Amino acid sequence: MADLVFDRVSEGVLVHPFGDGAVAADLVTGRAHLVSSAAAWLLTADVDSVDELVADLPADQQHDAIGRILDALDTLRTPGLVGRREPFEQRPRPTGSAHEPAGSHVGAAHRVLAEHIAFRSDDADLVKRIDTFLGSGTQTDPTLFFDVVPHADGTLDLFTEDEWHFLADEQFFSQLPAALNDYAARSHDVLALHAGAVRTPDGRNLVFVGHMNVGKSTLVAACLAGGCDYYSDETIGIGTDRSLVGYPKPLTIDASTHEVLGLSIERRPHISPSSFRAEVERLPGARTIDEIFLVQYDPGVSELQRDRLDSTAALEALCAHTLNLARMGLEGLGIVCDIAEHVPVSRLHHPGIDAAVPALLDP
Amino acid sequence: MPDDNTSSDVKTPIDRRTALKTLGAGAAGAALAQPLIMGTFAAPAWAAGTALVDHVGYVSAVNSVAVPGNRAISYQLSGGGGGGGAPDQNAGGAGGRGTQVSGVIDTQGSPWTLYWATGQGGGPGTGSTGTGAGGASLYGAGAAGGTEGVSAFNVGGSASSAGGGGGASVISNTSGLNGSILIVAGGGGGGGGTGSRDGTAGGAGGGAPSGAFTGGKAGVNGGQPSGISDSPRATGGGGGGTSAVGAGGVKGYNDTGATNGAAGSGHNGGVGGDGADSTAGPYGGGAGGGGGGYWGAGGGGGGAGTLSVGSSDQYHCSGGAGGGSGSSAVIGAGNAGTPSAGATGGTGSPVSGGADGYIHASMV
Repeated sequence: MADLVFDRVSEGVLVHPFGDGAVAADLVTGRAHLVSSAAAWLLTADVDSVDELVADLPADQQHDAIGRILDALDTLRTPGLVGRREPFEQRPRPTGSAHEPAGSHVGAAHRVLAEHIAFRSDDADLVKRIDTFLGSGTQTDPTLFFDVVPHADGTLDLFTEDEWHFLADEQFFSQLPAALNDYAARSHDVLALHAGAVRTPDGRNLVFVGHMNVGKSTLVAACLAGGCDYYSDETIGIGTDRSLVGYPKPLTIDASTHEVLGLSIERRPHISPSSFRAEVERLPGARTIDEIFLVQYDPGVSELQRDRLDSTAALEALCAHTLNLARMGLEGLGIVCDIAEHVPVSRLHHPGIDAAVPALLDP
Repeated sequence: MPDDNTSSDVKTPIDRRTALKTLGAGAAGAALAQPLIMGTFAAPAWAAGTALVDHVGYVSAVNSVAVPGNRAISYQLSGGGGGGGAPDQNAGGAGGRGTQVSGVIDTQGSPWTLYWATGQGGGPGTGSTGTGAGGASLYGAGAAGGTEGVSAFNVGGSASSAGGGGGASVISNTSGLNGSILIVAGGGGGGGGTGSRDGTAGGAGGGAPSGAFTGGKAGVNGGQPSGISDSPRATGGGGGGTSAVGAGGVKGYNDTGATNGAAGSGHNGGVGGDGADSTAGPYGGGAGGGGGGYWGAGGGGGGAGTLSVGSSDQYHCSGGAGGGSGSSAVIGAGNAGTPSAGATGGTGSPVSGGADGYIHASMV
């Protein structure tokens, strides 16, 4: 074995069992590879363990075995799974504001997945307006603070881990959900999925996964109007025990959603869930997820199409919408694999909410 | 390494006996029975940032968003697509797609404000009732297409008007859209109208260029009309340059009464040339398309088709040429921009307008 040049798994590559083999998630390239069990073993092995494996073979088979191992390493080297020299930078846990406390007024704690974020300012009215706007405050002890400094000229500074400068109140409130979304996507505690979620009147917890502009918020809003309670319209968390962690922010609704839902309320970009039905409850989370839907509004389909995905297709769909795998690391990949194999994931193509909502709410 | 090992990045229960069987014990020279990599898929969300702006459609006022000083911004910005030229017996020329410019704006060190405006798609040629309007823009407006030739005889159908160019879209760090950071995505060129005889389709509008760039990136020339053999055919408008406007296209063979396309003007596209009524002579060719302006101006409108009348040797009434697309720019943003096909251009049969521009920007 003295001549064997043996490359180890590259930095930024996570390997977790999946099905009969494993999934190798490459955080550098943003690609996931389904690999065989033999490849998974090679990705984990060091020189000594390979040496031992070869030594256990009959002498007349050892040469060929070394050749096969080297060929296999070449195959894994091509996509960068082994032997890549570039380092992968681990991302630190977000810390909240490093600014000195902006004032003595501290608002309620707002749930952003596993974090509880409170705003501080010397402007009591501003803190109150922030809490009213977000509407998700509780008396829980905050885990992070954001500081807000209003200026005489009407501009505001916001100190999260980052420093923002807003030209006016309107811009501040328009972008406040984005500042919080940024923290949801940076969670180190739960897997963050780009998804909305509701609890149906019969108690099922449904998750709607999708990229921007596929109709997630519209579908969530229509479900709320139809009797559901609310976890989020943007990002949900999933714990290692498959629990659902909410982020019950105001819904972000565009003009077309106003028209689709026939809303009579004022056209604003961010709307309280209770605007869709007064009794809507904002939920912090749930112990289980009953079904995940890969949502696609498609006016070209004549009727709703609901197709259950196999575990491999589910894995691909979930990976495509996982926001924080680089922060969650192997634990996060484990959650994705676990959910893909044990929670129903379906593709939902629907021609509009009139068809989709009754189908989803029908137990 | 333990058989059932776990490290910070790797967890696999594959024991060495399985590996021994798979990797070691095959017949001499035999390949592995099972592929090592059975499938690969992309997971773009792993590298996605938090959305700051996500807008599709024309805006008539400059918009703004706050950006933290220590965060880079990933963006995709597209100008409006060009409108399609109107059809008659043949298809009008397709409008060119708007240019999508993708890239990353470096961290700026202190908080700043990103200002943006998206351009409108070019209007469709409208046959005998008028030309396609240029797409509006707060930075560089697309220009109208040329008008069709008009005749009382209408031999072999009618000529048709051209589509308008798409408006440009822009990002900057000043409300005047002229700051040290300036990203401009050019509009697509309008398609040429069709001629009044079989086989004389309008030329396509210029679309998106290719190849990563810093500074300016020239637009693409509009296409020539097809289906005629007379030389010279009308030429498409020139794509906007990196330091000069795109030239107007030149009218075709013996098309008395037609006009050349106008060159772009500043950041705006040039108006497409008008088609002729060729009663003054045979072989009425289409007019040239207008050129795109420079640094992200809207694409020029396509030239209109012509109508010819008279005997059988006078039916070569060609379609109009397409307008050029506007050029794009990435100034002071820190990294190269990558152009690709953005907002869709209109079609020539059935005729349709171009799609409006769009912007997606997120913190990375």
